Amino acid sequence: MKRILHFIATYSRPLTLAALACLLLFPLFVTNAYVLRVAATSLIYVILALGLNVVTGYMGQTSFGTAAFWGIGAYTGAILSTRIGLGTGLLFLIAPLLSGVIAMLLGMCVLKLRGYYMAIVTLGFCEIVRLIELNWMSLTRGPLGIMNIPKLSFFGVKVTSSQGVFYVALAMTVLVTYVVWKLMNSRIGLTITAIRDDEIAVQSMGVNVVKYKVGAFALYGMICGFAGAFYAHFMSYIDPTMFKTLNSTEVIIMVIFGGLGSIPGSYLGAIVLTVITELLRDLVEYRMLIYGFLLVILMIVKPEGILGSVNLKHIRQRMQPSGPSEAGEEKEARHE
Amino acid sequence: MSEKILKVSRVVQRFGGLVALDNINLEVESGEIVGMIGPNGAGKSTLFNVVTGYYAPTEGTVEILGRQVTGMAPHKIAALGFARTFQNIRLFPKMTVWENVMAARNIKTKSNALDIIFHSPRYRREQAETEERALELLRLLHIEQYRFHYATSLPYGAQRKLEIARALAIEPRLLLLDEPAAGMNEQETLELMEIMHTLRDMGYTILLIEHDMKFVMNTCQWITVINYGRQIATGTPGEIQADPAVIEAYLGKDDEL
Amino acid sequence: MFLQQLINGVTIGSMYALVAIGYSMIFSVLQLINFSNGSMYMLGAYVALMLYLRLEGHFLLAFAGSLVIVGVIGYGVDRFALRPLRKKKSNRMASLMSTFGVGIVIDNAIQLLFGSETKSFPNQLDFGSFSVGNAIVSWTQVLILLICSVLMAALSLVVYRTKAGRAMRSTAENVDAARLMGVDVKRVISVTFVVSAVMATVAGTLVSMYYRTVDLNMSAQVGMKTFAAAVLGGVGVLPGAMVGGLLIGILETLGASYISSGYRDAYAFMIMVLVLLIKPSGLLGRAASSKL
Repeated sequence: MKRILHFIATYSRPLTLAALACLLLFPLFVTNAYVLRVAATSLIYVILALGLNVVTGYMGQTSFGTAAFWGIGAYTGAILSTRIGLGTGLLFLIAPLLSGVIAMLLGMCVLKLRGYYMAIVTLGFCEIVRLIELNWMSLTRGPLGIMNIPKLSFFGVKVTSSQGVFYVALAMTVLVTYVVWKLMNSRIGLTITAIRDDEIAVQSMGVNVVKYKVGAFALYGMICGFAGAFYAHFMSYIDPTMFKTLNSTEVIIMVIFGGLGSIPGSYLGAIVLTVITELLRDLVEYRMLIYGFLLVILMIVKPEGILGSVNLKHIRQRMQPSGPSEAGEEKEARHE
Repeated sequence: MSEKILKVSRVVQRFGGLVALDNINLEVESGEIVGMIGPNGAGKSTLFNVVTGYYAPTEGTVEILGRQVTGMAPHKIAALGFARTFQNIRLFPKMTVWENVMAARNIKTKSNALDIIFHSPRYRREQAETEERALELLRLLHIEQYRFHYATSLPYGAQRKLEIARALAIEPRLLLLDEPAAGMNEQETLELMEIMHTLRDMGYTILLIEHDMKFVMNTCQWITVINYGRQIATGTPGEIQADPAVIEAYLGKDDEL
Repeated sequence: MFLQQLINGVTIGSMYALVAIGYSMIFSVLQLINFSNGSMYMLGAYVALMLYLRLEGHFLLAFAGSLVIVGVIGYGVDRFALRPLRKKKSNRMASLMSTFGVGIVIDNAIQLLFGSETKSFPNQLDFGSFSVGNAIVSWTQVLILLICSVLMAALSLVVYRTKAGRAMRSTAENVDAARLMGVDVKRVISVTFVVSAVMATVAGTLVSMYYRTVDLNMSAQVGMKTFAAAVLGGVGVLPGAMVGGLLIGILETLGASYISSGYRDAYAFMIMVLVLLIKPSGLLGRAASSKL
């Protein structure tokens, strides 16, 4: 196991490029529309998981708001494209901005409060957003949902093929991954992680904790809104049942399963659970039951998730000749 | 030449019916190392928390560099240049030693999210600067060899030093150390004493709480003694050692002096 | 009209209070939101219904049986999903997510066992009604209020006046100190879980009788609302949970009839967020002292 991790840490850059190349070539070899659709769905969940990971993994706050921001993005996309006929390019800017602003406002209200409030307020928020989607008939058509959402189109060019849709999803995923990776490996990410570990100590360093929390939460809202704008066009039909608290829960389970604060973990969790869900179509009524058990067992056995305690950067640093000895490393592993 | 860094006037702190601090007055000028001693529970840490904004005093005022800061949020006071350590060490456990110090460089960097995403020259320059500066501090505290270790895997003494390095990272005008030598063995204490002398020579101003009398007498220019929330004596180490009120307070507690 | 809505609101609010107490008690002992509490409420109603149908009409027997069964399950939740986490000294989020997982399991197990359609629940307390002014009050409502009041009074007496209650309160205050004083902390926690499960069962059964139906939305709706009630009143304070439950019941009923019934389930949260913004510790809660 250690050798595998060392190998991955050493060659992380070529390995990432190889994975990306595989994803780029994937639609050239697999042309089955259903498979491509499942693949694109997986990528949407990867985006959502990455967004939630910023808040839950790096910052340590549980949020049940994923489906709400996702829904806001989806409804924004659906309404603006069916009523005004806006192109996807513009929607991909407007929807994340709107979700981000709403997330920021919600964050400013509740992120001053410490502890468990975040979980419960986002839970309520998700319910309120769903009720608005359900009751604001003139805007959202309520339970009827919005139908015939046009296909993705960029500057007048329509994306109609399954391959094209997959590539759009892939481009979005790469963009979000890059932004999250870059930010979380910078001083901003370091500060957010520090806030998770000890808010009081972070204050003593002159950092306005609330500002960073609200910022991280807004980023999360934006990412979910981005995924939503795509999702509306991808599905061509949306209704309020698609954005329930249960859907937020699914993303939470993906993030925890894959690994808190780990970008490869978000990929692992989102892809594995989406694919398993598809494979278990026949057992659909057992799905949530299995998820529930999985969650409890995970918490007992490995609460930080499969890749949650793997930090490739740290492994790389330790492999340097000047790094700590193997014995020291083992001692630390036990310490964790 | 010397500038008034901190001025605490008539500070009273009550928790319910308990009077934790009763009329405390304290001034620290730049370049000084000031010690605060007194039995456990005397209110020394409470005063630290008042000065750094974690508690709002019931009465009295705190001035920093001539500016009223009473009741200001902790992060704002820290941003004015007041860095502190904590009695029960507060390090970031999931980060390496180096990262712990780098995290504290945050307010000394200007690059924003866009700089980071687009990898701008400013960000690259600041990142390199942050890493270099953090490493320098680790060297200063003699814990450079641990830089890739997780912070909480360090020996206790080294953890205390790391907290000091982290506090120094914001380039403080005043460094507040809450029992820096606690839990250290004799060798480590001696080493820390040398570090304190280096810091003094570098021009740092320090206010510290400590129980180790040898440490306090050797590092501080003057000392204030707090007992049951009251200031019972203030003076140079020599004066404090001869002060009858201090001797009584300590002999009564059967403590070392 | 107003009086009628007020009476309806108090009835439903008193049952919310029973569930809210469960959240509050567990929170004060473990500093944990027990997300599975809403599921216990629904489970209580379903088990009572199932036993009633099996026992062909012995309602009280069925009710007693459901209390025992759900009480045991409540114990099991702590024993198997939380105690291992405490033993490993896991962080709080792990425990929170664990109770959330338990909630998902219970909700979906109910769906698999009983089906997803709405079921009718016989009202055993239907003794007609009488009118007060222009409002109609059913004897069911009176009985519900009575049962809730008696239970809350009894619980308050136990918590604030008996030795067992003192053990519970000292555990809530400081676990280590309580252990040193000879309190069996494990048992206190177990008892807390059993009591909160039993309270939820009583509320679930009464509400189902009151509305004459059970369905799968009960858990999520009531779970969230009653937690909001506990937070609103001040988490960890028993009278707070009662006041919060009543308030939410009343305001939601009034909101549904005077503003819009479509947002019925949202009022609880809007009220809670408002209160938290003004007084983060809740209506009757003590301001948390930040330990340094």
